[in-house]
Amino acid sequence: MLTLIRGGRVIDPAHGRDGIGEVWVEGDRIIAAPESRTPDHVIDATGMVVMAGAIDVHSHIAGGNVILSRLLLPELHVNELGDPNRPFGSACGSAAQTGRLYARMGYTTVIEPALPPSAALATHLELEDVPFIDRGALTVMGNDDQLLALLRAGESRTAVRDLTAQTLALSRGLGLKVINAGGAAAFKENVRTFDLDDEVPSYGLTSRRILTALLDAHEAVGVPHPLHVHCNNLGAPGAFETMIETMRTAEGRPIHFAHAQFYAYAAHTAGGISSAAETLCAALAAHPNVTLDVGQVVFGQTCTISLDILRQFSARGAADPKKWIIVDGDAEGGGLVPFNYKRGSVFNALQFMIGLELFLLSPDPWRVLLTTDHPNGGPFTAYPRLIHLLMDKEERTRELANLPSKAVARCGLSAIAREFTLAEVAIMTRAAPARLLGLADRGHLAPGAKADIAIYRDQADRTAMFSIAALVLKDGETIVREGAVAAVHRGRTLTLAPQADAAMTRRTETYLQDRFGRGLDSFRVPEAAFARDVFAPQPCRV
Amino acid sequence: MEALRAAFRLAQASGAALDGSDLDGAYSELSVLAASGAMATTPAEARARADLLLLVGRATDHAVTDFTCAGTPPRQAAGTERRVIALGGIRAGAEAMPAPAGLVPTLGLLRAALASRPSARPEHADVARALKGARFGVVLYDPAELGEMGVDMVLGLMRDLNATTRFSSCALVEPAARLVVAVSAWTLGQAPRSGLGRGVPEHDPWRFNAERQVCSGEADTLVWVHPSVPPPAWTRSLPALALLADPRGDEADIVVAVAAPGRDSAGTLWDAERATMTFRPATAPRTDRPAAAVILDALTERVTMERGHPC
Ligand SMILES: [Zn+2]
Repeated sequence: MLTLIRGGRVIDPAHGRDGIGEVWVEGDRIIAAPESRTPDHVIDATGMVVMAGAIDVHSHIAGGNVILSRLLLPELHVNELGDPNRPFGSACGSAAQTGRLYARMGYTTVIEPALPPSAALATHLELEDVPFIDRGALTVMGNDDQLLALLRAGESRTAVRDLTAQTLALSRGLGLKVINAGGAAAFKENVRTFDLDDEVPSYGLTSRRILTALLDAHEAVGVPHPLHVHCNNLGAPGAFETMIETMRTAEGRPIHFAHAQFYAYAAHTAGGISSAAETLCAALAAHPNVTLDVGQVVFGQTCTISLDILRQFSARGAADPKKWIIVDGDAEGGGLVPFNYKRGSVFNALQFMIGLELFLLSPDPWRVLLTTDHPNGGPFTAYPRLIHLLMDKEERTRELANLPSKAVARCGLSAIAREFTLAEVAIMTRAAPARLLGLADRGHLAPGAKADIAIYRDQADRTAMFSIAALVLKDGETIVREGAVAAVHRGRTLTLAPQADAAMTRRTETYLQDRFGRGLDSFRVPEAAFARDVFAPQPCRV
Repeated sequence: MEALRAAFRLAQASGAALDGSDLDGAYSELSVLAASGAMATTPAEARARADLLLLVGRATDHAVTDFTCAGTPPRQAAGTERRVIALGGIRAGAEAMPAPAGLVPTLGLLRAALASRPSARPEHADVARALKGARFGVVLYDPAELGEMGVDMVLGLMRDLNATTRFSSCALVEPAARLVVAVSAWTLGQAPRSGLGRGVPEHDPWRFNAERQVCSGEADTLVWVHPSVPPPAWTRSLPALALLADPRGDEADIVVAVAAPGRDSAGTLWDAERATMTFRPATAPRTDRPAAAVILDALTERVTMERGHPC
């Protein structure tokens, strides 16, 4: 079927396009305007904004810890209303609802940032049940015994590369993530604080050493998405210094920092924190190899989910309501601590403002991406409101008026006049995340791209505009119309498929048998385990 | 996995309530988890790392315990000897710690000994010292045996010990129960014992307990999906369909022989020792038995047609 979208303002920053124009779609792809063909279907987008489908690089939507968060806080997902014809899609906190809520906002690709290799199959089965969107997941390394033992033994870079390639292939990750490198391993040995140069006791390895080894391996394997790093010292006053030091450690190699807001804290002389967003943005300007996502805080109840068990254990005292889970897993495991971010709290208000400050002081919208680290800073459904605040200084002033003046004084936000343009929003939520993930077929509207398209009614109320897309196409199919489901679409799971080394495969088989009483077969994510043809392999860099 | 997903689809189409076949243990754990949280580890991690294992009650004699206690732990802290203590049970190679007061009260007395409270008993001093001195200790227990009070006591013990050292726990729960809880959590946003009669899932562990619903007469039909476990006696009071791998034929009004996943056909199952899902190829493949999911989906199609609802 040939579809023409016409009359709308087409915003495609990847190709410098911003103006009234046409987008042609045939099948699941965007095509060049044909010479002399009549479209089968015309979408009149007059008064609307046409963008590529949005992409979320960091949102915890599946896996054992997400399951535990539902069981820890059943009261958070009580159903009152719903569409009786779609009980799963309207079930609060279900995978079906996650897909539907993303699609409604015009999101068509979402990355789950914590794929534990030992529980990869379970995570992928849950991701399969997230409808509408394409998914991908980042394989977590950096606390697993096989890697640490290999580093302790001083094995070659080639060996570390081979193990990394194999772990990625076995777990079907789209990228590589490291979470407080060595921190979980150290916590199991009763270490309670862990900085970049602290050692994991029984391995004699510093966090910096593990991180550097993974940066090398990441480059050698040719993973398109930069190493995705959750630094040490999350949430600590002074954590910005850890992040800047970690930037230096990368020595120019591509590196992505997850939920930077949680590190942009300086210790205030009068106690508590003040904003370090300006310093962090200056460091970002000085390190063009660095990207980050913000992890914006949103006021309200949530449940934080992290594989950083050392940090989550130390945060347990702040649990609200007073219950928490720590799982010492095979490598990281997970920690779940409910938080209630309150407007009246100086600390929470600062977290909220520091996040916005990071966006607004950012030297480059291509390198600072929109996330709430769902659900850690708050739910992804807050994105439209956050876009509104970034685009509208007056709206921010109104928001700040409700925050404690002590917090407002410790942060530069109130003095910032910058307002994001729609083109910058399209960069931050489409073009930049696609480029960052190495996904050339999305995040833009040029011929050849996937026909993942979001059409919004251009309104001054940006919250309303981005909350409910007028029309969303996924793979050329209309899946959302005026925010309602038009057709249930089953997306794919994007993976890498690096070549595994035969010798490393044999070593790993022996290691796993010894460690788990199970071989590689027990850890595989075979296609036969899935109801549909679910995986879409992406190439590595050569 | 596929049978479970299909069962959820059937429940959605028919407005049924969903329960797990053996959730008593899981529920003792889940209700404590929802009230206070948990500290847990995997049997595989315990096997590799624990320098102290405290086996409580029935956990002294359990296949997962055999796995956990086997071999030399490769990740155990240097210079430590693994110590295995069997509380209220006997196990070869384990020190027996009697629990004449009962398992849960004895766990309480151990906590008292750890905190040097007046109620502490002198005979618990050695074990309390061992628990405190462990580098990475693990308690293995059966939540069905301990009940909610007992699970809460284990969690309290974990919290006390982790103030100064590292300790965790493994609840020995039926693998099928773990699988249904996981799939239910992502499908409904809630644990099983949820009802779909009102269009959206309603989670209520008391109301949607299948045994209670059947015995009280609230339910008028039952579909039993568990290839390896026949339906219990209480299901005989109402019209029932059972999908079983090795049926006698008289387990329910209608019995359909289905493929056993991991034996007759490949399938995703729960690996209790790794505490996650795993794919098992068929050990003795046969094609004359339909997958349970196929039967359930055929029912869903029929129900949907008759009710006139979209899927
Ligand atoms: Zn995260």
